[in-house]
Amino acid sequence: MELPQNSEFEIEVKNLVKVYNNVIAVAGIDLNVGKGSITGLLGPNGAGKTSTLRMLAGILRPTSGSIKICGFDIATEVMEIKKSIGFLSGDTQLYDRLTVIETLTFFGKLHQLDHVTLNARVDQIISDMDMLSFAHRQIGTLSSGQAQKTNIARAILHDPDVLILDEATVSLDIISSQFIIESLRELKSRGKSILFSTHIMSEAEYLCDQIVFIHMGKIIDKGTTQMLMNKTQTDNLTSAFLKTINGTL
Amino acid sequence: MIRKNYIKIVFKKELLDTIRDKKTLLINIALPVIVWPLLTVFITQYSTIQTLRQNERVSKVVLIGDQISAFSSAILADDKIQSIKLKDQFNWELDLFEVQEESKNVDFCKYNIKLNDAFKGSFKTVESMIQDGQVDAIIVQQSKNIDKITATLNFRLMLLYDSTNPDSEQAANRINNMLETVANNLINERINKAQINESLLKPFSYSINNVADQTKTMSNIIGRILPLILIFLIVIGGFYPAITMTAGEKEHGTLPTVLCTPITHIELLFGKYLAINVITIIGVAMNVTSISAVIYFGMAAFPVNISPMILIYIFLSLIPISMLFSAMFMSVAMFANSFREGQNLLTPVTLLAVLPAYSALLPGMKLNLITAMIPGVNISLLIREILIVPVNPEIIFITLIANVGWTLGILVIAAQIFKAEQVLLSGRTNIGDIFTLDRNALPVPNAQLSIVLFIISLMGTFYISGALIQYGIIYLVPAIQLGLFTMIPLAISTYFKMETTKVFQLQRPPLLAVIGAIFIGFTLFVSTNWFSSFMSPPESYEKLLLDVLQLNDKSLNVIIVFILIAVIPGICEEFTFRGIILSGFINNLKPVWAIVITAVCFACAHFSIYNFLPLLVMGILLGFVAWRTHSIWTGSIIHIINNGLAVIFARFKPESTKLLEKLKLSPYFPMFITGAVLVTLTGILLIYFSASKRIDSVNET
Repeated sequence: MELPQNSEFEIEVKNLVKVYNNVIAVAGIDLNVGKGSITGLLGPNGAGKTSTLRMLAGILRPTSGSIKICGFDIATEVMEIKKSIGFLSGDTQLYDRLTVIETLTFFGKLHQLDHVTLNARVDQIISDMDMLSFAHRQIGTLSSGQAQKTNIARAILHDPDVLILDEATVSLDIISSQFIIESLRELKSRGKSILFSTHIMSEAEYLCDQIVFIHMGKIIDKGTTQMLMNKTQTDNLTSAFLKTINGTL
Repeated sequence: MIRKNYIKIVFKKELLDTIRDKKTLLINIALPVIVWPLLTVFITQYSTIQTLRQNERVSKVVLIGDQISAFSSAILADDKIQSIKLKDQFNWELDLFEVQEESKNVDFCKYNIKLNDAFKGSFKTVESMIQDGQVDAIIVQQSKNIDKITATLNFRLMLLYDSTNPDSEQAANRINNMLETVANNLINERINKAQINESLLKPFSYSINNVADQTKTMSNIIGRILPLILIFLIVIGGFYPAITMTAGEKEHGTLPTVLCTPITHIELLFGKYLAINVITIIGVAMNVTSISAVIYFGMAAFPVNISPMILIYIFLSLIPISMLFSAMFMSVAMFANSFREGQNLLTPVTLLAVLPAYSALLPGMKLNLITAMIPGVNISLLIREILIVPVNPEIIFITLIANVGWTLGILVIAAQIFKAEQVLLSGRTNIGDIFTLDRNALPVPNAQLSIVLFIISLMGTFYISGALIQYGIIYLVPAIQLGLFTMIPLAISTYFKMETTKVFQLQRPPLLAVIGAIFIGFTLFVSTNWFSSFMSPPESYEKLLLDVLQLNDKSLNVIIVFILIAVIPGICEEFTFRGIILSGFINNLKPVWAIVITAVCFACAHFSIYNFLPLLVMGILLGFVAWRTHSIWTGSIIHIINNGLAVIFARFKPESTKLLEKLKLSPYFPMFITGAVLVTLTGILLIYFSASKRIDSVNET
């Protein structure tokens, strides 16, 4: 598998830093994600994955450094960036008392979809993702799999070019996780660029065009799965990851 | 730029979410519907039963003294008073302990009475017998006096009872009536015996009538309790929505989901704030409606005369306070990371909110200029006064402004909190960090700064006027105008390193605009006078204003008055209002709204309901002129001439305050008005076109 060769990056991050109350969470990250590719951000807890992804999603303000997504600069065009990305994480929960349709309509309106487009898009997503049976039920009454499905629908409702997922499969059962993994592959095939963090190595191995190892707020290595295994002379991603991390200690 | 559409989307969602939340629904809708009728029925039934029971109850009375037998027959005749004989149960003795005074005519003695409790083997004072409820009242003969000349016996009685015990109070009333009857009978007996004509002893007769009828007395009682209950209900009405929409969302992890959509923090804040407000106001409306229903469907057994208009006033006066509480609750609840923590944080705040409402219970508290500025206190006193006496509109207006001012202040704080990502995303943060003012953060003013400056101007004007009014305009005007309206905006712009010329719009206006401003300045009073006729002030108010502004104070040089009342305000007020405040609003809102809101601020800062409308019109015009010409000087010219005319009229033609009324009688009146309005309009047009030319030429270059 080859890394994207051209300069057509959907996500361009340069020297990104985030400091909370004198604690450095992200210590200068450079990262590029090519169009129509999947990049996996791998790292232990507290490595700075969530902070990085939240900065990319425009939820957190970077302390310093630059972020460009779909050509928009986060310092000046954060709203344009928010329109171009879909963000899904363990923390992005939905309102328990809204129904699936109300939820999608609410987020669709926030993404400035006009009335006609929004209705068509909601209908389409509900049928594509096989959500009709619970479309009129309140989120609080859904199973975790159904809720996660709704959450994915929410993230891709406005048809964003870039998807950012932060440990989206965490605490999900195998079937629900599998659904997300397959959805990502399908989205990639439609030309979407995807950046996601996980600590489930098999997911990363299966999905990613590019793997980025992150540890203590810094990128310690990146490349295709094969490149990383070759470099560490290991035969699986978990060993490659552990070896790389140990090498930095 | 704040986008209304986003606020609306969040607002509608929050409303829908809340409607489905049974807890909030119960507190805001079900509780008022149930509480008021139940409370009324309960109180009515309880008081009816109490009255019946008390009327039927026989009062137990102890009589102590050697002359007390004079009342035995009267007590026997009264079937509601029963004399208790203590001798059967108690050994009682009268100890002569002090002879205070001895004289020829007076045989005066005082008794210390102790009752020997046979059962407990101890002595008890008579007071404790009443407090224990063994008897309802005791009549003690304190002294006796035998007039040696007329050989008549007079004695002094003391009635002991416990006013906190209704039974005891009832007994005291009955005894009082009985004693009066016995005394009257004795007097009549002696008069007859002495063969004196009764009319000689009664040179006049009189009766006492309480002008406060039962209805008013009831209104007085309701007026003291109602504010407290209503404010308490507002507080619990806003409590849950405020926590659900802030800490609750943080706990459920729904905030990051919303924040990754293209909505700004401020739009999110306003959407939520509006929703909390509407829910609280619905709660208030439900309460007032429920109270009305109780009154009009006659559920209350007591007489109350509260007109629908008064209920509407009460409802309206509760809106600003519910706005204030919503903002306060939201700001505090935002710091909590879970619903439970939110409850812990908000509980002391609710106490703080309810506490001022107790002021309506305090008899000495009155709604005046000071209490009108204190949130909570002002509303509870206002409601009490609305129920009892006609309230001065000026005070209502100040109460309203004060609450709006406080609400805006708290909203500014809430906005600052909402901007802090650490607060929004459940992280820990120092409060100091949230309110740190980054000198580079505001290269140009924004709406938040405008609101802060408005609040400073409002509060500053109020307190400086209060402190310096007695020293006259020589001190008052420079302090407010130069100190408050000029130095503070300048200090702000310097602190944030703003471009002074741009922020204060200090550019030279085009010549045509200057001519237009002069046209408007000389004729504007005609239009503003017409607007002030919608709510004309009482004459006493006009006179007070003239005195305070020393407009007809001949001891002051007219040029000094002109400088103090026309020139200085004409420049300094423009600095604050058309300088920073308008610039700030224009950077966040559409110009038309920015101009209108600035004009409202301008009118409010003058603290007068009678002048509100004319000042609003003037403010809109000054705002338009400043916006159009990018210069505060154009507005200054209008402001100076307009105020200057008032000074000159007041000094040289004191009767001119009634100028328009006099002119109305003249056959040339319509011509005069039309002429003046036409000149004003020409001025406006001149300014409009002069500025567009200038802007075009800038664009061309």
